[in-house]
Amino acid sequence: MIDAFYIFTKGGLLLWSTQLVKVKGNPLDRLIKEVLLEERVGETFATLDVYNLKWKLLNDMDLFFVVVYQGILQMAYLEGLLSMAAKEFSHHIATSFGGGLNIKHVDFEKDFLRCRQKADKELKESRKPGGMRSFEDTKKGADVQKNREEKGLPAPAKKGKSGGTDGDKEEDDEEEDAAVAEARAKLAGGKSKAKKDAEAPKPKKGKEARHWDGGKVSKSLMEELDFSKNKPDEADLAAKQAEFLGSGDEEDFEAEVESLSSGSDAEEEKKDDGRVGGLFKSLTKGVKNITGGAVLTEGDLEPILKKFKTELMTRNVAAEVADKLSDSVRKSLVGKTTGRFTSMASTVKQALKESMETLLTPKKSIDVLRAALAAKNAGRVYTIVFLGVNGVGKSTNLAKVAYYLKHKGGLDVLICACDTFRAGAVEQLKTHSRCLDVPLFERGYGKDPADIAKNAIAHAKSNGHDVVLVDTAGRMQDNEPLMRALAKLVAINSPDLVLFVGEALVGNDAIDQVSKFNRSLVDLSADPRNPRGIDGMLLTKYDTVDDKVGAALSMVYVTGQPVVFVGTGQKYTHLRKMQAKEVVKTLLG
Amino acid sequence: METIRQASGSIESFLGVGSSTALVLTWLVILLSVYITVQIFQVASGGTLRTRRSRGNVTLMLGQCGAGKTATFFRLRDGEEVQTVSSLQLSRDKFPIKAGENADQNLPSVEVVDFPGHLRMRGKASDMLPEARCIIYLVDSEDKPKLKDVAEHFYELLTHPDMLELHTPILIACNKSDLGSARSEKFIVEEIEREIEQMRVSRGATLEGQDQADSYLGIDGEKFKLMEHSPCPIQTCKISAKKNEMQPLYDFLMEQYA
Ligand SMILES: Nc1nc2c(ncn2[C@@H]2O[C@H](COP(=O)(O)OP(=O)(O)OP(=O)(O)O)[C@@H](O)[C@H]2O)c(=O)[nH]1
Ligand SMILES: [Mg+2]
Repeated sequence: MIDAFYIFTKGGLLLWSTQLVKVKGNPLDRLIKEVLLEERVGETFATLDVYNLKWKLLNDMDLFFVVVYQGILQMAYLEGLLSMAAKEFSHHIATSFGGGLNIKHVDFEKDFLRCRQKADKELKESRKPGGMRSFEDTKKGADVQKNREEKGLPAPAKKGKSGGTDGDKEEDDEEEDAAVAEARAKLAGGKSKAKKDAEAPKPKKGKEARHWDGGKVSKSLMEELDFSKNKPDEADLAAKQAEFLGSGDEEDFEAEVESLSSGSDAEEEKKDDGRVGGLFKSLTKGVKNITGGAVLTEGDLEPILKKFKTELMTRNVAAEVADKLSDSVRKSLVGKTTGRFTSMASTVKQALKESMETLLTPKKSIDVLRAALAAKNAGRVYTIVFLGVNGVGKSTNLAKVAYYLKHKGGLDVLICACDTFRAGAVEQLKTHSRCLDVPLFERGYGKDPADIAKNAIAHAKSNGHDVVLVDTAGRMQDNEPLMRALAKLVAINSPDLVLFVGEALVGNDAIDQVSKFNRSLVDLSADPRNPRGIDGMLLTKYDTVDDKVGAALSMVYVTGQPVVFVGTGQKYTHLRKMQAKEVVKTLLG
Repeated sequence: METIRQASGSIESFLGVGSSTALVLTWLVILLSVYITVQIFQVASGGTLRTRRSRGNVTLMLGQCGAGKTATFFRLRDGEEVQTVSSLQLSRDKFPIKAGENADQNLPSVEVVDFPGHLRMRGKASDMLPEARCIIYLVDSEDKPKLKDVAEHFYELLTHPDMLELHTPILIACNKSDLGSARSEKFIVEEIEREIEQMRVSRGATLEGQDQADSYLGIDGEKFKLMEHSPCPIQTCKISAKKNEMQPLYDFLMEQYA
């Protein structure tokens, strides 16, 4: 059913992996570089080539679990499998995790097989008539977890009574009871006591747990096909977590574990100890918010993120982008412990700052002049196509780029007038051409722009021009026929750089514009296997936006492409490169 | 512990609140005073640091994606081969460096940072520069196309204000020398020099308002020489993390932490 499964750390260690079917290419590498490193951690699913990937992040351990498959699989099944594997795995490495650097490879074959069989079985059961249960359970489990995280309550030890495997319960009961009793004594016996216990290392109990564990493993080897065996693990796990995660960490961890199983009695228990513990919790949490060392929960993050989100939106970041970004930051922070003397708000701000800086740092060279010079050295003509909606300043900024390439790089530039649509467009370029003393290639109005560009490039080749700058007619992103014509121009001439020109002052529309232009180009690419979209953006009127620089972030987020230039005024010299750090500083106020 | 209990007892009687609340209050007061002390201390020490900056104390590992930084990090630390994926986050650890085969020397504890190579992380990598005592720059000797990116990164590093001020030594470690198709140190250095030469035309031509970092490297009209024209000492070497041929790294670290 699934093709492969990977477990790795954020630091870049592949701790365990299996390929049930040989995986072609390297979807995992693409996932890391194109999704996870692009601040899209907020999502948990991606399609890359023929593969679908779904993943889970255990924040407190900086561990990623990734399942790779083809075709369609039930999300609940995948989530179940990921959660089970995550639980089993953290159980497996509990005693020696040590900040994540001490475990380099883990033998996880057997446990994974068990997880898979259990998930398969649950799936089968959910398909039986009246077998909606496992779905219900997962949902309920998730709710319980959410609830708990919001209230900051520790999860009580679980009785292994619920869950979808009624069949083989009795045999385990004894074992379970002992384990549950032990865990209860620790966790449910009063919050403060559980805390103290967790703070002091308790080698004795830990050791016992391990012995017991050893016995269980051999047992589970014998009964590999018995899926219900993981129930005692939970209690065992609880004991271990308390041992190695130390104070404060266990709640979330428990919550994580809890989400895997149904929670009817878990819920009841929670209600009992809610009150008193809740007050104590909120008090300590308040202290920790000042002194640091608080474990972040969804409930803590929500109001803070909301505030930042509003702030971003007032600075013109598109709502959708602000949403996704804060989702991503939330996912990467839940379960983390705040640093020493760092409040939650500043932790969130720092995370947001880093993630925006990462986004705005180009992932490829944006040195146009260097690329043009390299092309010249290689005896090629370097072509840039400028495109965008009407009236954003395409021609003016094209002229600025011409000036830059000519005066700073000593390049021989040719301007090509492909706006054969709007009256006066050619004349406007003529004026620039005269002011800049740069030749203009034009064929008047009404001709096919794709052909004109082609001729211009040929002309440049035979006349020793180094660079061709192609101006195109402004068009609305919804105008199908015009977008098609544009895609044709790009497909036929395959320019070195396709620059989207947009106004720095657009808000929510930025996304619509840039994504539709990009989509049109990609859909109508000359080579569908290697689609060609927008390569970068030029933001105009950047001098007029004050602190509302959000469009830069929106456009970069949507396209994944960098802002190559910003236009800052009317003069030819008013062209700059964008400084990621400045933008972030402005956006965060 | 006893004093705390006494203090909380007095608060208990003074305010007439329950014992657990009093305990919490006591802790609160203690933590608050500790916090303030630390803040004052930090401000004070920060003030003195700023007047005369000196290099930090970590060994910073940089290089492109797939150059072998993570592999080298764990080789240095544990002498083990590991399986890796592209790093999303830096790894940092303090550990003793054994001087390889002829281990009569060793360093008791060196803090090493393995910084992810993804281009999006480059800005953050520069933020680490003040912390660095030295830089080990790993290059994938087999990947010629990537050398363009390497050169670009070097241009940024060598014109970075922190580098200009701190002169942090760089070791260019040409990794994967075990592969038959690996290029020589000489080839790699020349390729970087050639690319930088092309780049300085475009970089030197600063756009208006660009920061100072994008300034001219080397001497106008002369060929660019990495070893001569850099603001910091640069050495090169050949290693293989896979085959555990790491002696040059140990030698470099001994020199830097001597
Ligand atoms: N043949 C050979 N392969 C190596 C050597 N060192 C590392 N590799 C391989 O190169 C690949 C990438 O190594 P990593 O250590 O993950 O690279 P990295 O520099 O940490 O990359 P990022 O984390 O993406 O920045 C892995 O498959 C390694 O096995 C070496 O000396 N020889
Ligand atoms: Mg790495």
